[in-house]
Amino acid sequence: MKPHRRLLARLLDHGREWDEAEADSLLEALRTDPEAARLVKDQLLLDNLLSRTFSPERRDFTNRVLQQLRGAREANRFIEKTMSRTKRVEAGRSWRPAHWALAAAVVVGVGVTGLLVRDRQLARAPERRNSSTGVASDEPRELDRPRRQPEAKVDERGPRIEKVEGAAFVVGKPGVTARPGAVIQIGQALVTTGGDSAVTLTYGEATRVRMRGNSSLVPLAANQIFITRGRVEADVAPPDSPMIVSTPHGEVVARVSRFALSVMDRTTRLDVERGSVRFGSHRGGSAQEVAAGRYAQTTNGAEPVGGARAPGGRVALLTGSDNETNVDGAGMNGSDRAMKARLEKLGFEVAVLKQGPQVEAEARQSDLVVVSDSVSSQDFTDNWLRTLPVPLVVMEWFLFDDVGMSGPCGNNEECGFYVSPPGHLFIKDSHHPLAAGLAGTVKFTGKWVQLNWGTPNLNAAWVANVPGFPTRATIFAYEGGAEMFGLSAPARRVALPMRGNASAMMTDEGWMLFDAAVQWCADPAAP
Amino acid sequence: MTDGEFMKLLVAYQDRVRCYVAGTGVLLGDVDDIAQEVFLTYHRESERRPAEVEPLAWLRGIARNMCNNYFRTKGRMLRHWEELGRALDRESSALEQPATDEMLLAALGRCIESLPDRYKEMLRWYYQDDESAEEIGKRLRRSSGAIRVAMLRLRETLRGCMARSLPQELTQ
Repeated sequence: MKPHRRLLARLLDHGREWDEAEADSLLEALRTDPEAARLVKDQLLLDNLLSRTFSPERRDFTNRVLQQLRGAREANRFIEKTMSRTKRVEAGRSWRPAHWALAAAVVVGVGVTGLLVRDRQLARAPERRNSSTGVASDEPRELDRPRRQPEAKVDERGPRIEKVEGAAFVVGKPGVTARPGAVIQIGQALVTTGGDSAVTLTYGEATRVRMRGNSSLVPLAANQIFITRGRVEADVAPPDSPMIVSTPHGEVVARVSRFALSVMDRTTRLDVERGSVRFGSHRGGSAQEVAAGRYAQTTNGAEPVGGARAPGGRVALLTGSDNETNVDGAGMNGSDRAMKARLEKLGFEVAVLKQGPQVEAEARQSDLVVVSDSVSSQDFTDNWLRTLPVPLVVMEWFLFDDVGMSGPCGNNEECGFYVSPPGHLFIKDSHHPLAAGLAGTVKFTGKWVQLNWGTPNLNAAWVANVPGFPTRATIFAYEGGAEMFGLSAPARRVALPMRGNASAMMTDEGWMLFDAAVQWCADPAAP
Repeated sequence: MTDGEFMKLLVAYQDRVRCYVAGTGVLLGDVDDIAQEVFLTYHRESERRPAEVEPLAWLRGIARNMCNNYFRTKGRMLRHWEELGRALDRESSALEQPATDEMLLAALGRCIESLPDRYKEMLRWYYQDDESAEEIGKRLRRSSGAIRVAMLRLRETLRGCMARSLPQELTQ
């Protein structure tokens, strides 16, 4: 067999893992052997046709394109409808008799005030004359200063920028950087770029909206905004309520409340911290009242589903120094810090524990134990984690078999890690709570990272796997009492794939999966 | 462009566009996403197509640009793919000739049926159950390399069978 045929055979395997030397070798073969290029082309086309023959999800391509087209049209129609409704309402408002009376009163008031001010200034004018000559001073008087041209009327109905962190731009005014004090007019878009960027907006008299990095927002009316992507946190305070926040998937009507809204490609998630918020999807179904401490989300515009946010309690976050990069005074690397912040945001009290004699006792007192990938499996040689009667989330793949969650690890037997085009996972069981309402291929991290996998038994919930490798589970879980490898699970057990610095690069969808995992694990009553 | 015109175009050319994208070396899991974007772009910008340019040629032009962008965004690990894509773009295959989707898939179905059962099973594991060469190798007690080569030969057999099965004018 010619060497390029062997390379081609590897190339066409699902993972297409080949190194640069192999790639160079194949390209050289293609250059020198015209028959080889035809062979590669035919093989690629057959590969595609075979996949279409056997794979059911590739059979409805036409419908997929038409659905996308319909989705785009619906979104456009929605924006147009909302804008025209807003214009109609505003036009109707401006010519009410009460407004005429108010305008007349303002004109009379301004006129009288102007006359009074002028009289007082004229009365003071002689004081500015040179006392010895009686000639008027060169210093210009207030009334002599050239009048400023009246400024273009600013539409004050949009939100005002209070604070800008990082990079933010007003789209519709090309190249305009968002600055504190500026007003975003109706129909203009405000965009933040970069994960660390944020903009705080004031709406009405007391409402504040904080827009996170990589987000985009368009004010549609005095009390309505449209979020195309990203995350905003709103604190709606009287007298500004209600506030309407629309997304490509649903709409929120908030009265006095504090909530966060995350908008992804297919999903909008609402987390309510205070008060109560009404949440409905664009495709109909009944809108729901989401109370404080609860969340709801809609995927592809379907009726929202939700549940309780973190039940709270104490989390022991076990960290180590396996990844000795960017470690702070508390012994945490960037990934550990990101996880701690996320757990705190979910309402947990987080105790960061490094390996030591007191760790086991502390872990036993916790409501949930999260084991970061930064620990070393050798720190747990007495294997107390295996029988810990506390819910456990594990991210260190060498521990998957030690705690009885997977078949044997080491030498890539039944556990391991992989590098996938930017951190992709395939959601195998989209109905499980750990799937967070997501389905299909999910971008877990924004960059190339290593992610763990294991091989649980059939008593586990196999929620996600390595794309193209259905037997390599990346997110899996056992109910308390389920038979694992060599023992029954003493409490709920969840395996997550974060490895190395993955947690510092997670996408919104990645964090949704993390949230779902810790919430499910910590709450034994969750289905 | 009316919905009816777009529908006709989609049905008529979707197989050709998907074949074209796959033939440049785009990863199998991304082929349909790119092809979908090609059609949506065509729909959005259909008025920009000069009258003398055939719709299929316009679609292929959009697809070529999208594949190039795809390879660029894949970064270091796939940087060779762009060159591979260019090399393959110059080649034409009998399977890209104007056979309809139904004809190609029907011919492929007939050819698969003519295979011995163990090969049909291998194809099912690989394409339907998404099993890797390693996993199939474990089942059959053969090395993953042997499975990959067997798959290559299977595809060659099927390609030869299809060339015979499709009408002569389409395969020459």
